[in-house]
Amino acid sequence: MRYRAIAEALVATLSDGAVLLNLQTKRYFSLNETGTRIWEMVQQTAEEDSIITTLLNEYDVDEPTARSEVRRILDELLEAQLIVPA
Amino acid sequence: MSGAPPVQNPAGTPWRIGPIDIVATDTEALLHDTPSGARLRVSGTRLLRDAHYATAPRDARIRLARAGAMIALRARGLYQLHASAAVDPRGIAFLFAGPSGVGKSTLAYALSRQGWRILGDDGVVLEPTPSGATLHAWREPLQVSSALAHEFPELRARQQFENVNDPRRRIPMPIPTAHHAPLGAIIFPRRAACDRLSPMSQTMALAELIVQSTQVLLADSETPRHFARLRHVVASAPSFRLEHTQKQLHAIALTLRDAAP
Repeated sequence: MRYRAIAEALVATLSDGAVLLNLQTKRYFSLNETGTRIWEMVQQTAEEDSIITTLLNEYDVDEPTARSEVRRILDELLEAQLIVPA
Repeated sequence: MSGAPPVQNPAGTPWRIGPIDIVATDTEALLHDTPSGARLRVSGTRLLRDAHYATAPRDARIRLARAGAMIALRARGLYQLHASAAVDPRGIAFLFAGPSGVGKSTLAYALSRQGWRILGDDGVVLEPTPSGATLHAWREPLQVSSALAHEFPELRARQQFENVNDPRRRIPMPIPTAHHAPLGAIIFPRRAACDRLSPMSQTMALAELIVQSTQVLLADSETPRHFARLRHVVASAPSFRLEHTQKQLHAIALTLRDAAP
């Protein structure tokens, strides 16, 4: 599955994560460091499986944990209407 | 009450500050005070009186002018925050941001009694600078709840000024003021059962600062710059959560030594 970020999202990247501002819903959303990395890959319209592979390469994490974390963050971003299926 | 029609501007983004509806486009903002029907237009940094403004009650004109000033300042890269701020004896400003009732004004007043100068009680103006930010005064009287007279006995001498229409029955207090000062730290107070000052993450600080600078949500052409500058401020100055009891009314200056840059 592939997603893309909405055009109305503003992103502020900080030392410990990022804050996203959805100008449509006027709500903000905080991401930790891993969530920020996932967001960066979504912005490049990466496939969900390729996001998981990248996390496995970059972090000390097993595949079930990475898969579950990616799914959780994508679900939260969908719920916040910050991403939509591409 | 006015029979003025509602603001219509399909190309703009609707927003609300208190009882004022705002519709912002890339070139101007229309402010509509819903109780009175009075309107003000902000074009760049200019405030232009619109329908029913001249005949509106004084409190409506003040509300509109205040909201209009916030938007006009924003066009100049200056951001009004719902916060208090106090300047320490070295000339460094501490910003207290948070929703109503967390103790922003009370802590600022407590600091003024300990020799600090005050930039604002319920609002200050933030000017991002290359190295951080400067805080500017937003002049409104500092008000302290009359219920704190047992902590601040001088309130008793001013009880005739108590605002009886205010649920907190606050009393405006004369205080030493400052015009501007460099920002040293951002404090997010919270009333609690214990006293604790803890560092806050930058993401949490930015999220809380957005809520106290709601014009960022106007979603106009200024919004990306406004958002980026709030980010710059939390990335430049340390942020702290201050959980506080009434003990801090007499100890806050000492507590803030741990937050001093």
